[in-house]
Amino acid sequence: MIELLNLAFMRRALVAAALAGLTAPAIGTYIVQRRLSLLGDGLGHVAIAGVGLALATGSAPLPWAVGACVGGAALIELLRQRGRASGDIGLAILFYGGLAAGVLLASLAGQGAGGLQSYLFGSLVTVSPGDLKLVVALAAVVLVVALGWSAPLFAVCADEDYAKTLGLPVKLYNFVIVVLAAVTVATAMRTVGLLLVSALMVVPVAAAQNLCRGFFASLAGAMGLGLVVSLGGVVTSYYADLAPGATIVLLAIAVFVLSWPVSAWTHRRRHRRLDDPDPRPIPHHWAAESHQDHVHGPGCGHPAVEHGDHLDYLHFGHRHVPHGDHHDEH
Amino acid sequence: MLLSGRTADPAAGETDGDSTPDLVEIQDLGVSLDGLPVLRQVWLTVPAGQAVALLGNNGSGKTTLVRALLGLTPHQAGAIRLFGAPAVRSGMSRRDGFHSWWRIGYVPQQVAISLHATTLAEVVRTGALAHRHDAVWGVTSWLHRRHARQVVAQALDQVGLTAQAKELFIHLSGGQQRRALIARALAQQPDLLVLDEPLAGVDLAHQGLIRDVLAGFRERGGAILVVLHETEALAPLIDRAVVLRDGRVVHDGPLPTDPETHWGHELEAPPRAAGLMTGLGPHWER
Ligand SMILES: Nc1ncnc2c1ncn2[C@@H]1O[C@H](COP(=O)(O)OP(=O)(O)OP(=O)(O)O)[C@@H](O)[C@H]1O
Ligand SMILES: [Mg+2]
Repeated sequence: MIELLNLAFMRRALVAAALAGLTAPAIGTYIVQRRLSLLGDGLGHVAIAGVGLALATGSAPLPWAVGACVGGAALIELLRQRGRASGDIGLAILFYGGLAAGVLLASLAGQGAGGLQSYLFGSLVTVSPGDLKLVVALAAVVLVVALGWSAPLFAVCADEDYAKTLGLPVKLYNFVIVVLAAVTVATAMRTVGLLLVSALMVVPVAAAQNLCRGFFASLAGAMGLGLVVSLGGVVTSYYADLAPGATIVLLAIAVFVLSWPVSAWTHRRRHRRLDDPDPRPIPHHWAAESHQDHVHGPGCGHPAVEHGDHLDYLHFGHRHVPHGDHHDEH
Repeated sequence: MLLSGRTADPAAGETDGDSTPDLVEIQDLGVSLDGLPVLRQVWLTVPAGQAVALLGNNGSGKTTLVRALLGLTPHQAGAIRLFGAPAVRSGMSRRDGFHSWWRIGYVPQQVAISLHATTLAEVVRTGALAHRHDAVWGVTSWLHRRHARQVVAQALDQVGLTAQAKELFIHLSGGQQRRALIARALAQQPDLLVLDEPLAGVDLAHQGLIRDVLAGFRERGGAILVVLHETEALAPLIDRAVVLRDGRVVHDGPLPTDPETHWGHELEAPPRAAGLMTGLGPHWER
C-alpha cells in the first residue's frame, strides 16, 4: 500500500479518483432526482468531441473536454428552457454528433478510435500534473456549489413551480445543475473515463437512497460510497492490472446490489417500530346525526360491535355510541 | 352582473387612498392557454386581513387564475398588483415591481412531488427557504438553520403531522400529502395564503384542524385566497366569495347560500342528484 503512494503518477491518480468519487455522486443526487439519469452519459459523448479537437490540434485534452462539455450542457439547457428539446431528437443529434466528431478528429490526428480509448474508459498513468491542478480547482467549485446551495437546489429539484413561487431564480439553478454535471463529467475523464462516469453519478446515489432516509442523508451517503469505490477501484486496478474505470463502476454496482437486502432489513425494523400506537391520537368526538325517538342500547335492534371498552351500534353503516344526550360517531 | 358585483365591493373604490393596499389586485385579466381563452376580464381583490373564497365548476378557470396570480402562467391582458406593486417575475428588471414572493404561501391543487428519497420534513423545509431573503445570498447561516427547524416543527404540528416528520413523502397518504403542502406554505410564515382546494381528500377531523389553523392565521392579520368546492368546512371563516363561470366572474360578494343561483343555470349545473342522495336520509350529508 505504501509503495503505491511512492509513485507520483499513482498519487495523482488517487487524488483525481477521490475527487471524481466525491463530485460525481454529489451532482448525481440532483440529476437523479430530476430524472435525468442519462444526462451524464450524453455529456460524456459531447466531451469526446473536445478530446478529438485537442488531439487534432495537439494541445492538452482536459481543458478542451471541459469546454466542449460545458458548451454542450449549456446548449441542452437553453433548448430545454425554450421548450425545444421535448422530442429527444435534438439531444440525440448533439450526443452522437459529439461522439462522431470526436472519432473523426482523432483519426484526422492519425490516432484513430484507439487513441481515444484511455479517455473513454480511464487510465491510471495519464493524469499529468497540469491535469491534476485543473481537476482539483474544478472539483472544488463543483463541491462548494453543490453543497453550499444544496437547500435551494433541492427545492428546485423537488417542486419547480413551488420554487418559482418562492421567488428562487429557478432557471439559474437549473443551469447550474447541468453545467456542474458537465464539469464533473469532463474532470472524471482521466480516472473513470467518459463512457463510464455516468455510472458513478447514478449508481452510488441509488445505493445511498436504499441505505439512507432523506435527500440530504442520501447526498452525504452517496458521496461517501463514491469515495470508497473510487479509491478502492484505483487500488484494485493497480494491483490486478485492470482498467480503473471499469473496476470502479463494477465495485459501485456491487455496493448497490448489497444495499438491497440491507434496505429491506432496515425497512422491516422500522415498520415494527411504527406499529406502536400513535402517541398523540386526534380526538375523535363527532356528534352523530340525531335520533328523535331512539337511544341506542342493548336490545335497540341495531347490531352492536365491540370497540375497545364499550359497544358501538351500527346505524346505516355508521358506528354510534350513546354519549350524554346525543350519539357520537366512532 | 359582473360590473355590479365589482362595484358593490366597497374596498374597490378605496384602494388608492388607503394606507394598507389590497394584497391582491387583479384588473381586467385575460389568460389564454394553447390559444383558447380561459380567463376573460377577471377582476379580483383580496384586501389585507380578509379571507376570499374562489368558487366555480370544474374547468371554470380557478386554478388558472391562481397560477396567473403567482406568475406561473403568463397572462395576455390586464394587470396584476401584489401588495401594492406590479407583479414582476425574477429576472425581469423593474425596481418598483413586486419581488417579495416569499410573502405568498402557495398550496397547489396537485401534488407535484414524486421524489423517492425525500422525507416529509425536508419537503416542508423548502417553505422555510422563504426566510433566506434576509440572509446573505446563498449562505445558510447557523441562525437560519435553527430558525428553520423551529418553523418546520411548528408547521408540522399545526397540520397534525409531527409523528410522520421522518417518513418518506411518497409513502404518505393522499390526504396527508395535502396537509404536508399546507405545512410547507405555513413554514414560509406568509402574509397571504393562496390555497387551491386545500381540503380535497382531507378527513373531517383534520379539516377541523386546518380550519382552526387558517382562522388563527387570519386573526393574526393574514389574508387568504382559497379555491373551494365544499364551502361548508371553511364557511365561518370566509368574508367574501368570488364565483367564476367559463372564465368570467359571475358573483363577487357574500358566500352564496344556494350556489346554484350563482353558479349558472340549473340546466348547466352538473346533475346534483338532489332527490337521489337526500332521499336516503340525513346520514349521507355527514
Ligand atoms: N395547459 C392547458 N392547456 C390548455 N387548456 C388548459 C390547460 N390547463 C387548463 N386548461 C383549460 O382551462 C380551463 C380552466 O382550467 P382550470 O384548471 O383553471 O379549472 P378549475 O376551475 O381549476 O377546475 P377544477 O375545479 O377541476 O380544478 C379548463 O377548461 C381546462 O381545460
Ligand atoms: Mg383547479
